[in-house]
Amino acid sequence: MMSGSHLWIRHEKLTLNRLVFEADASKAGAPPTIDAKVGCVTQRQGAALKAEAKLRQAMVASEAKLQKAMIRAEAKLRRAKKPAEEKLQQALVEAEVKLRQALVEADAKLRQAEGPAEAKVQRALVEAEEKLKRAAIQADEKLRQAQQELAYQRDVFERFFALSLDMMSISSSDGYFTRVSPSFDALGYTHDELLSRPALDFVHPDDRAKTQEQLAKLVSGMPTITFENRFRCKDGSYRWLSWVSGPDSVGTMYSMARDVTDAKHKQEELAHAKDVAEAMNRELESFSYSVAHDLRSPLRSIDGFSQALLEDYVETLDAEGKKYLAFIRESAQHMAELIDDLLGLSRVTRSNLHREDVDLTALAHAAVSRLRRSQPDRRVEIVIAEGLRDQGDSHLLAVALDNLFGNAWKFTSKRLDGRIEFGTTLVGDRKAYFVRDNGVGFDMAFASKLFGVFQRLHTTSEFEGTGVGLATVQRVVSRHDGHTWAEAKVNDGATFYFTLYEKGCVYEQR
Amino acid sequence: MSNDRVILLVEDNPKDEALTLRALAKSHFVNPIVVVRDGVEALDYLFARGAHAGRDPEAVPQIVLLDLKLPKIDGLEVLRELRSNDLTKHLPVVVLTSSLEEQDLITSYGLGVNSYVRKPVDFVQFMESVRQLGLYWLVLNQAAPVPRKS
Repeated sequence: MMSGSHLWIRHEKLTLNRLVFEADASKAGAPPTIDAKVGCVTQRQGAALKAEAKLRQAMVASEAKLQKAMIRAEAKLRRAKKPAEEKLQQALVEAEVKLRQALVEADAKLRQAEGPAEAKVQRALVEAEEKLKRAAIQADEKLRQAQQELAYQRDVFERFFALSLDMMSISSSDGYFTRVSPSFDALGYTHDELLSRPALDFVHPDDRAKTQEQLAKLVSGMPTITFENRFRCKDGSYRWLSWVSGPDSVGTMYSMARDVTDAKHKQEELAHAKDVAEAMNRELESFSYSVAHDLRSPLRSIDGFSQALLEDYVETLDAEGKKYLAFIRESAQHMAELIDDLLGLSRVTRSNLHREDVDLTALAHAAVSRLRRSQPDRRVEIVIAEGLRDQGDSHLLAVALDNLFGNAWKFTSKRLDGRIEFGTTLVGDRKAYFVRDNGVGFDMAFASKLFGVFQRLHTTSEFEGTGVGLATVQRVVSRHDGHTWAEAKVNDGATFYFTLYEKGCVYEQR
Repeated sequence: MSNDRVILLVEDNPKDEALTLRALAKSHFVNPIVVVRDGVEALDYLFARGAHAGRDPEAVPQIVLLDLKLPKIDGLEVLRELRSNDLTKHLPVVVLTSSLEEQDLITSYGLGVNSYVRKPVDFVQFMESVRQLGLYWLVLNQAAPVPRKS
């Protein structure tokens, strides 16, 4: 089928050829030159004219062809149009029919479903109604219970309010008591009297500013406040009250007050007693110092003149006389030791305890050095655990270790293979320090006497000593809130244990 | 090293005095010993006044053995006085006392004492202490020359 466009192209082509030809022809139609070749020009003109005619003929023919083709195409189109239109009509009709059918079917289905659906809805409605009824009954019941509970709580509150030993009060945001518990009776006012004036009126004038300061804190959002003030009683006297107060969201204040007048007095008495005790302590210190000092002087005389007698009157004295004088000298010297030890013991009790980090290993080494220097010829094996550190007063602990090591040193003096050990061990769940020796030991039957002042388990002829050393150790350890105890076997050594800062162990100065 | 300069013993207790003198004698020190019995007399002697007005003040003692517990003016006060006087500024002073209280030690050394010796109860030890003191201060130690007023 020849399409319109195809025809058009051909037409265009023809037009173009015509233009080319016309151009050529115009060229060809150039004014003839005055030439001998006039004949050629005429020929050419004639050819051009012929060509022109041919072209015009071709054009007309092609135009006719074109028109014919166009007519044919239109006819074809019309021919095609009809069946296509008819097909479209048919399709439309068919579609309408189908749609109507579908609608009818849908309608029928809907009516089918409607029936049972309605029934379902009805049933659901009924169920819902029943549930609602049940819920209403439950809610009623709960409400009743809640009301009972509330009544009970109120009752409880009322009982406690009435019974309270401390004073309970409710005050309005403008500072008046609106309710006070019966315990307020102790102040001597009637109920109405307390409610008749602003609460601040009853407060001692000197304490009002402080009280108001605290109340202001509540405004700034603190939930509760505590404060103390003096409250005036009916009879004009004042009692110290310790208050706790808190408001609710509308500014009503709920408070409790406790009468702390007696407690305050006790506090003052305690502070006073402490001052007295400290003053007495200081007096005691200077007393024991001068006593010790003054006692030494006559002892020196006793010893000195006994010796002078021994030396200067050696001829007039017999052996017995010399022995007596020797006894006098020994006694004087022993007494001097006792005085020194007692002075040391009292210093332990009196001195302030400075709690600091203490290197116990170092203190032990120092004690041992001193012992070795005092008796350089003795061979004693000493084992000291490394890195023993704790908290305490380094001076007092040094004294305690001096005593413990001194004892161990002394009581191993009868052995050539003396051994002393210092370390820590676990006793139950607490850490204990120990000084152990393989010396002469003691009978555990007398263990209770070990730490008594002047108590000894050996005679002075066996081992010298004043019996104050262990008492000193015990006092030092007690001041560190610890315990001391010992274990031993006769001739099989002794171990002395001590703890420091045990929980629940507080030293009481007797 | 002179044996003619005085040992001044400042001691209120007659028993201690007797014992010290005995000890010095036993150690064979031959210096003359002057005993004064309280702080006032000590200063009177040293500055040649009062009961000792006739003394030549430039004849200072070789050594002063000073007890701390004295009646009237105590030992520390005597020490303070003598250290503040040109004549006795460099005078060797040995405190000889029963006290071992730390505060006394600190104060004495603070005031310029030369030596601090505790009197032991044991007489034999006391004798030994005195002998050693004497050996050092009377024999070995060079005392400062007396300032001469020219």
